[in-house]
Amino acid sequence: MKTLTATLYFIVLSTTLWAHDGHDHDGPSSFQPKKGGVVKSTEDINIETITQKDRVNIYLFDNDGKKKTQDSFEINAQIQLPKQNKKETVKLKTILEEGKFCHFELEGHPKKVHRYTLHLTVKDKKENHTDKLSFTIEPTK
Amino acid sequence: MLNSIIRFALNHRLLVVAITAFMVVYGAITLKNLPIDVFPDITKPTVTIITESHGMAPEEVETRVTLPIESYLNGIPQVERIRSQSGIGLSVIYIEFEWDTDIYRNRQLVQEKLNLAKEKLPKDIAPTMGPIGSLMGQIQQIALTTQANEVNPMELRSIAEWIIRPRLMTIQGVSQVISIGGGLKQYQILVSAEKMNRYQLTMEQIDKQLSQISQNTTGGFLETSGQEFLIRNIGSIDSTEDIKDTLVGLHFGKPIRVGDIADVKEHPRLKRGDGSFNGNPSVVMTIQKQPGADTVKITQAIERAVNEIRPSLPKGVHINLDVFKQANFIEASIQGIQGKLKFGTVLVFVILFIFLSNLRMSIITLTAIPVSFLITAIVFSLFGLTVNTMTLGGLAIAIGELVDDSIVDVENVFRRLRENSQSSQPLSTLKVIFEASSEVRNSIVLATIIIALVFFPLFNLSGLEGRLFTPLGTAYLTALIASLVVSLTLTPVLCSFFLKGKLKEHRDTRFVSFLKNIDRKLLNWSLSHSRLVLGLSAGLLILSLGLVPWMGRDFLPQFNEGTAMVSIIASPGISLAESNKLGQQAEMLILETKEIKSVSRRTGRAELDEHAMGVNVSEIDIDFHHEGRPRPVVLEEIRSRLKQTLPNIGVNIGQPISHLIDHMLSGVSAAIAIKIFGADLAVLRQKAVELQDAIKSVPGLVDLKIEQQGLIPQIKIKILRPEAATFGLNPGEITQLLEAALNGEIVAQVIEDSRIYDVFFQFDETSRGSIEKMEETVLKVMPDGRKVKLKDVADVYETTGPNEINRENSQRRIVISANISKRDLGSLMGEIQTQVKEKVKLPEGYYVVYGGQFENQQQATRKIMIFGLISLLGIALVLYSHFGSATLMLQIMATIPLAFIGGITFLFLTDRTITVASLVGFITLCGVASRNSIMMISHYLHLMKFENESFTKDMIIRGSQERLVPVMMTACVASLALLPLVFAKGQPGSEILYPVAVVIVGGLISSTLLDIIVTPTLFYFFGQHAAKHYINKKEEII
Repeated sequence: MKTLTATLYFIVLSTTLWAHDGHDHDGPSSFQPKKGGVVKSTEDINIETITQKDRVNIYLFDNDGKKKTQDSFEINAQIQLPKQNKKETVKLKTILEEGKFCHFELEGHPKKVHRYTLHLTVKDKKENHTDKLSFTIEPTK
Repeated sequence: MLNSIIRFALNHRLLVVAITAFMVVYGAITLKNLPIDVFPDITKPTVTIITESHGMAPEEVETRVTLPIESYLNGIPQVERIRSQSGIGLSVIYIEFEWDTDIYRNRQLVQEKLNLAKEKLPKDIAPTMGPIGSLMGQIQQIALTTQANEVNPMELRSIAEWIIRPRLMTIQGVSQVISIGGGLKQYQILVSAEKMNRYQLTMEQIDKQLSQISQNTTGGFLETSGQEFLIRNIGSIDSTEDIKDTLVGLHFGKPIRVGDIADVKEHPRLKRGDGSFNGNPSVVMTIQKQPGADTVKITQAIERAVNEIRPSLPKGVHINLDVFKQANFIEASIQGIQGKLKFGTVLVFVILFIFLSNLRMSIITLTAIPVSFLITAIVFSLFGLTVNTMTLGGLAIAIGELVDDSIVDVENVFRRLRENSQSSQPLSTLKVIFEASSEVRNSIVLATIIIALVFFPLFNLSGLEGRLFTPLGTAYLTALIASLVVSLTLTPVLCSFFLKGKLKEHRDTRFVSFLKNIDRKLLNWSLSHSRLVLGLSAGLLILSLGLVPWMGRDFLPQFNEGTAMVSIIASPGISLAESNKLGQQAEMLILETKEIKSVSRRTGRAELDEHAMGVNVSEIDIDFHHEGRPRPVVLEEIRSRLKQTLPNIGVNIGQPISHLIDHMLSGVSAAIAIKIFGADLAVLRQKAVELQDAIKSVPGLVDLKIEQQGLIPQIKIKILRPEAATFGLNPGEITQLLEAALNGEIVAQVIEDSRIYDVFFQFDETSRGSIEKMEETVLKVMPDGRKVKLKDVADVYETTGPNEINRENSQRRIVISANISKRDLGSLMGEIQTQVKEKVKLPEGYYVVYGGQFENQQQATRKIMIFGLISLLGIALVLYSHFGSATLMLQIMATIPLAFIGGITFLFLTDRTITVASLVGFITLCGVASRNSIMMISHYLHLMKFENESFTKDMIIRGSQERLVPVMMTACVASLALLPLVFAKGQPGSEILYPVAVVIVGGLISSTLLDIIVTPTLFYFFGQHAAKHYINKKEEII
């Protein structure tokens, strides 16, 4: 009985501990877009993507609407074309404004497809957990 | 000519009395039948084009419907603004024409362009023009409710649509009845994709078969036995069973019926809006009237009609008539003003009697008021004007002036008759009356001309302010001209009847003697200290002008409509069900306030509504109990309660009519509308957020929000052309089939007891409930039996898109709107503009326009100032042509700034805000104030010319003393007639007239008190040369 209780306890606890690591956040966000784009949110970070004619910009805000500092997180990006399973890693170019980090610009942004999926993996350094978010990007829209 | 009129009247006294009696009776009958409304017609000529667009996304609606129509509409003459809203499946275009254009001509011009534009639109999309509307057109709301679900929502809506609506539409003056809530009954064929697959049926086959599901044709005639029979081929459907039994295809030779592949049922059609009353689901019916129709009469007719219908309704259906009723506001406003008019008339009579202390003279003088009013009513009827708060306000302002002409005439006639009776060779009474009336006619006509000139700016106002104040000016001038005619005709006639026999010597009453005594002392002192008096007066003027910067600026005073409207705006993309829940929650929160009598809610858009409101928006109409806390306190409580409990929704609190006026001015239902124009929707949204952040801390700004042009979730089905080609399918074919399957289409109609219901066909929920299920849709069966599914030829994915796209004058725009609380519009807008300039940087091609009441306030103020100056020049010219002296002209016109001292001070002590209404008060004041000065200076000149007085201090004191009573009397009469309005702050109907009255009363007090001292002092100080010149010049002419 003790073993069973300990096992159940371990399972419940470990689920809670891992719950914040690497899970998806694809639901709608209540965070008001600051740049007129699409927002998806984790517990502490709100990511807004804006697709313009020839580029995709990625902004990161905290819950108070302030821009995140670059040293507070790590971010990786992959893109996936429609009807394909393969994901391709792409680079994010850091854009500075008045010497400070402002936002990222997606490098190698495919322009001739009607859409692709941008997968972002964001690690909050302070909280030490990772979140995955995906955005549909329509370059020709 | 004027002498001829007086002579004719006295020679035909019975005719004058008979004509007057006829005018009084005819005027009374006319007055009873004049249409009553709360305001003059303030609707800007606007044509609305509504295009239902088969559920297209806003981007497609904009590019495929709105843009082609707009491109044809550009270039129509006298168009001021074209606004459009492209929402989900709906395009609404508002074409606003210049104020004085004919709406029927405008509609014809638009129709011509629409005929051309139709060719550029997608197939089966037909733009239609909305009915001719009126801003005050939404006159009543009715709520149909049922307790404990005794009647189902679909039946409730059917009662509204098929029993109540047709009855109400027959009422003369009703233009439209729009229902929201319940459910519009439909016969639905919900096809299962899985069963289609099982029977190997394609969408194409089903679509083709269902298009012929219900058809009647004719078989011509059969002639037999000398008779002819009409042959009818009946294929129409009457029930769900008929639908189920219809063939849709064959499977291995076996007939497949609709019932084999679909669920057929009676069900409400897809809702894009819902209604509720006091938190319970209900059908809310909004009744609109035709322009110019009498709201009160229509409301009475509606209530009679509903009461006739009531007994025939099923048990459990309740009709609430008292949801929103504009007639209540109209009746309260009109009765309020009428009461003030009556009270003002009584006060005028009291003043006349106090000063004249002669009942016969008082009655003759007072006759001018009813006779002038009734003549005005006849003129109203001839020119199609209505009885409203503004026309009644014009009469209220005129009351004091109406008796002025008669006072002057009666007083002079009385004096001359008395002198004549004491003469050794008395003339005939009629001769004396003629000469006495003739003697004063010049000053009466001069004063009336000046007042007419003063109103020149009012008749040049355009826009809403012009629509509001022109009827006021028309009523005022018509009454004044009528009183002039009365003073030239009826007054001398009445004098001849009533001022007969031996007339007692007129002695001053104790009160008048007391006044004259004070006046004498004051004049003795002031004429000896001219410089000091003039210096003090100038100082007072400077002091009062110094108050102006401390006062706020507003367009028009706030109305007290007795009801309020709360808009609840959820995030775009929210479903109707969720938005309904939020709306209901808001209703319950509002009902917690004890002053609330009832609430009714409309969420989303009703089927016939010309407002493209998304399902995320709810409009809640609130009715209040009469008693309770002040309205601003109650509204603030509602605002804070809603914000606390529902933090993620936008709240906008206003009043229904004010909301509509705001909407007409700027296209936005708020007092302030800041518009950002530009091409890219994302940039517009971004700049709107930046602008909102920049101004959100400005004090006095409430209900600040960005127009809900956000992104909503979409599922896109992108046809992959190469893949589609492989299966012999073209993209158009596929999208058409998908539209039928996913969006559905109406394939036939069922007629039940003269009620017509649609037969609607669509995939059932399980066949289109997810992307995966959509992808499984079979589009075609290949000859080898292989099924072509949607996923084979298309990419189905989730994305986002705008919920609506708004345009103005062919450019995309986004609006940041707000209301004002506890602050004036002028200073608030100044601060907003500074903040925006400092903090918001716009890219090339993007710009900001400040609209709403602010824009109109600036335009109106500018116009009043320009035309005010022109009318002052006109007054100067008239005075100069009469007196022939610039000095005398300037002395008379110096009364105007003296009047401004009181006007400004009173305004500062009461409203502390300068509005278009208070500017109108100042305009009126210019005429009224200069009148007394004319009378006074004319009398000095008369004494010098006809009574051998020389230019001395004693002559000025004598002249001033003799004019004191008429001056005091006209000032008191004019002020006291307006006194009821001065104490009517915030009362329904008196909102606009209150500042007008405050300014006039304040100005009259200061101008009269100062006029008694300053005009004689000015004349004494500057007038000697001019007076002598005037007398000599006149003699030269003679």
